[in-house]
Formats: sequence, C-alpha cells, structure tokens
Amino acid sequence: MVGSKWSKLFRGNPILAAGAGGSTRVKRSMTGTKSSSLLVWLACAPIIILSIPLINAAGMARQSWVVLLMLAAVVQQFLVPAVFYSAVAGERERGSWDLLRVAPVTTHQVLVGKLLIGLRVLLPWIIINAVVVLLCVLSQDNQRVSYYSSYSYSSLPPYESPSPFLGLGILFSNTLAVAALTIFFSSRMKRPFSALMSTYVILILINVIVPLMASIVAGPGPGLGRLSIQIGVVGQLMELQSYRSPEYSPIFIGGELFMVLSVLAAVLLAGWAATTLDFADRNVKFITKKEAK
Amino acid sequence: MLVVDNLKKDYNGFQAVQGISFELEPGDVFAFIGSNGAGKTTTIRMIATLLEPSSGTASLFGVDVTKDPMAIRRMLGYMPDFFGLYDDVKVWEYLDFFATIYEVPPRERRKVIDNVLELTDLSSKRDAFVQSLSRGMQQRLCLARCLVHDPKLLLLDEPASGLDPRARSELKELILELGRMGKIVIVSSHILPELEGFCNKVGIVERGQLLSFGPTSDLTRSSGTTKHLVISTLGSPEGTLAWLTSQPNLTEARLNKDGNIECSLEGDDAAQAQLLKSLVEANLPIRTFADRRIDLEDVFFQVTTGAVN
Ligand SMILES: Nc1ncnc2c1ncn2[C@@H]1O[C@H](COP(=O)(O)OP(=O)(O)O)[C@@H](O)[C@H]1O
Ligand SMILES: [Mg+2]
Repeated sequence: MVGSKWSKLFRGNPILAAGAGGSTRVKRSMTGTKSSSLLVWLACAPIIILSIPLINAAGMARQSWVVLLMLAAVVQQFLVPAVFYSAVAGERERGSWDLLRVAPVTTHQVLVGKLLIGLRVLLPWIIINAVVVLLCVLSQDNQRVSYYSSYSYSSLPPYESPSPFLGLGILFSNTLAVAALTIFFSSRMKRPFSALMSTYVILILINVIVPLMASIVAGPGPGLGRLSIQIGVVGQLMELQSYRSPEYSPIFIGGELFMVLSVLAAVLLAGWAATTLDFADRNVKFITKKEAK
Repeated sequence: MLVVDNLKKDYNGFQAVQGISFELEPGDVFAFIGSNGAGKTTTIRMIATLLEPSSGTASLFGVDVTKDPMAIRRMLGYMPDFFGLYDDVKVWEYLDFFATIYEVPPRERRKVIDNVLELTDLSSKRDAFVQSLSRGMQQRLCLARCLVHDPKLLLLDEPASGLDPRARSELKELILELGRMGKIVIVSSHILPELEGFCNKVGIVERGQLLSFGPTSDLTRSSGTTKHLVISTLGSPEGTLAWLTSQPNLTEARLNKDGNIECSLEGDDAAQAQLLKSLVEANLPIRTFADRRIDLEDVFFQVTTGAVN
C-alpha cells in the first residue's frame, strides 16, 4: 500500500505527466512564473563568470570551488522563490485553481507535481552548478592532505579534505527545501507577492538574522556560536572546509545532517501545504473568510 | 442519474444553502435559477466536490460526492462562474494538459482534442494563444476543457454572463447538443431569458431554498386552479372587457399592449369551456380565445418573493 501511495505521487501522478509531457509554456504555467526560464539563466550567469578564473588558475586557490558553492547558495535564496512563489497563489489569483482542483488528482499530487515541474525548470541551474564545481575541483591540485601538513601551521592535525559532492549535496538539498518553503507560503497566501515576500523574510531570518543573534548571544568559539553559523546554507558551506577538524565544536550539524534535515523539512512543508488544500475554500490559513469570497 | 438530497451549507452560522433536493436524469438540461446570493454557486460547488456540504448528500450514478470525490471528478465537468486560463499557453496545449491529467490515453489524446475543438467550434484556434481569444471563445475553451474526459455531468455556473448575444446563442446551441449527447447539464443563471427555451427542467432557488422544481413545461403551463387567458375581439375590446370584469371567478382582466385582453380565471378546464360558452352566448365579438403562454420570468416572479440575502 505504501508503495502504491508513493507511485501515485511520482510515476502515476497525472500532474507530473502533464507537466513533463507539456511544452515549456505549460511547465511555466504550472509554477506560475512567466519569466522563470529567463531568471534561471540570469542566475547562472554570475556562477559561470566567476568559474572561469577559478578553473583557469589551477592550483592557485585550493578548494576555491567552495567560493562558487557559496555564491550559488546566496543566489539560490533569491532564485528558487522567484520560480515557485505563484505556484498556487498565482492559480488562485488567476482563477484557474478550481479548474485544477476539480480534476481527479489529490492535493498531494498537485503539490508534488508542481514541485517537481518547478525543479525541472531549475534543471539548468542544477546542472551548471554541478558541472562548474566539478570542473573547478578537477582543475586543481588533488594532494590536499599533504598540503595541509606541509603548510606553516602544520601543528594542526591533518584535515580530511572537504568533499565537493557533499558541498553539492548541501546546495541541492537546500534548493529542495527553499522550493518547498515557497510552495508552502504560496498555497497558504492569497497573493503571490505576499507569498514571495514571506519566503524571503523567512530565508533572511534563517540565513542572516538568527545566526547573527545567536553568535552575538553566544560569542565566538565552539558551542552555540559555532552552531549558529551552521544554521544557514552559506554558513554550512563556509564550514565545509574545516568542520571535520577534531578540535571542533561539540555541537555541530555537519553537512550530512544538514542535507537530511533539509530534505525532511521539504517533505514536511509540502505535506503540510497539501493537507490544507483539500477543499479549496477551507483551512486556507492567513486568508480571512471575507477575503476568500 | 444525479440525486441531490437535502444539501445544506453553513458558512460560520450563515445558512447559504438550506436543504436543496432534486433529481436529474441523463439528457436533462436543468436551469438553476435564482437571484445573486441565492446559493447557486454554493450548491454547484458542493456537487463539484470543491466544497464540503454541512449536511445532506449528492450522488451521481450511486457515487457519493463526499465519499468518493475522485470517482465523481472523473464523471464531472465544472465551469466556475469566474475563472482564468493559463494565459501563456496555446489552445491545444491547454487541452492536452487537461487530457493528460484526466488520463486520456496518449494515443487518443489528439483525436479527443480535435473532437472537443470541433464541438466547441474552436478548431481554427488550435494554435492560438489562450489570451488572444475573445471572452466567448475562452468560455467555450473552458467548456472544451470540461469535455476532454467525456463527463456524465456538466456544471455550468453562469456560463452566459458577460457574453454578447451571438456568443450566447452559440453557447445555447452547444448546451442543447450536450443534452442530446445524454449528459446531465446544470446551467445556473440569474438572468431569466438566458435560459428560456433550452432547458427541460427548471429549479428556482431563493435564499438557499429550492422553491420550485420540475419539468419546464409543467411550470410554464397554467396551473390547475388558475387559467391565464388571452382573448382578442373583433373591433373594440371595451365591451368584452366590461363584461369580463363583472364575472365573479375572473381576476385581473386587463388590456395588454397589443390591445388584447388578458385575464386569469379561477377554475379548471371545465370552467374555461364554460367561460367561452358564456362569452359567445353574450354575443360578444370574440376572435380568439387562448391560454396565455407564461414564460420563466412569470414563473420566477410568481414563485419568489424577491427577498435576497
Ligand atoms: N466563502 C463564503 N463565506 C461566507 N459566505 C459565503 C461564502 N460564499 C458564499 N457565501 C454567501 O452565501 C450566499 C450564497 O452565495 P452563492 O452560492 O455564491 O450565491 P449565487 O451563486 O446564487 O449568487 C451569499 O449570501 C454569499 O454571500
Ligand atoms: Mg454564483
């Protein structure tokens, strides 16, 4: 039974089939953002531009690909909400939501469908980041372990070299989480614009305000101060280079755990959003009854 | 068969629909008439599985709307009163999208799309962008979308509002055709002449209650106890009118704008025959003596009190 339930969400999901089989225009209609393809390519531009000197200057800055990932993470906080924000709220505003809701698909299928179709729109972004980061890694010196021990502060124990795959994993699990967060707001708000703004507010809270406050409260060094940096995706990537160091914070999230938590958050948010859409007028929180009419 | 049984909807204590019941057979075109705010949209949305009834049930061919909404949705086409289309897609892409969602097999999709385009007279617009269509065409496209899965029940909420007379009459033809195809069609409207002449069942709703329901012919025929008559005379009608006003079982005898006499007779067919006999015996110059055809508008004003929420 569990199997058939999952297959209904993915392989047997008519929304997904319709989006995947449809033209680019249909895909854009599903995420609701007309200029989303253009946005994706615009977002790719700085990554590509920055990668050119990094790839060329082989050996110059080891693990310079981390810089690329960090830039991508920052850009992503703006890009992903811009692709998804009107996925549901836009349908509501346009008046096409009822037409979709009256089709024989569950709200879970609609949400999963929209999420995956939107990720399909984001595919160039995902591919370009992966390619550029891996190129950057390949162009550089591979002997990182010896690099550290031969360096002037060789008193430090050798670090395990950071994995570019882990870095990409952190970046893309964050793509998913941000996408789900945006769809969540989109399905609970009446106006697409308020969904977009709410998402940005939450992302700024997670990535900037909360870490800042926590580090002010806790002061630098291990413990809470360290943890606070790792709450946001940029902080996670920053820590990527050094977090395996043994003298490290007693509490830290770590890249793998961050990935798991991000995916979990995405699933929970999407699931929550879906359950509120069962009957179109009901349970749409943040929308007063009068407005709903 | 659609059975709606004592359907109620309560919005935070406000009873928008207060127990509506009716039954429709395949091929029925049902005019669901009521003023704004009468509860038409609420009723339709409950049947369309988009709104949960507070109580009561509706079932389509034995399937309950609340128990198996997915099965209902496969048999249902719903056109809301206000709707928007994805504006950046082409007509065929739009229909293909919904055909896929309704799980029309890929091999049949093209044929199905051609068929519904043909039926809704949009074949020439196949490759046009949806936003370039006129209001009437968008309405028909929305209807075409409702038809890709060959539904058994069509719920059309105020489909003719905002259409010009030509688009309106094209829509009328289309709805008639759908009825002939054996579908159950529910058409709601607050504009009466819009529905005149193409529905075989009528329901009049006011303040959430179905005041009257039945075949159009029953409702628009003079009812058993009151006969509505039109009498024309040779020459001046004054004498006949004076004679009629003096009759005890006749009410409201008056001249209409065509110069004919309209009156209502309290009584049955025998009383009507007797009246004609008396008129002739009184030597009045009667030229014609006929039942007055009453239209939906008359029925509507008779049945409703004009009270709105
Ligand atoms: N979501 C809602 N919340 C509260 N009241 C509503 C809601 N939707 C409709 N109503 C009320 O229910 C009544 C019936 O509305 P509706 O079914 O839209 O009427 P109609 O379609 O016949 O014009 C109206 O008085 C309307 O104000
Ligand atoms: Mg209405």
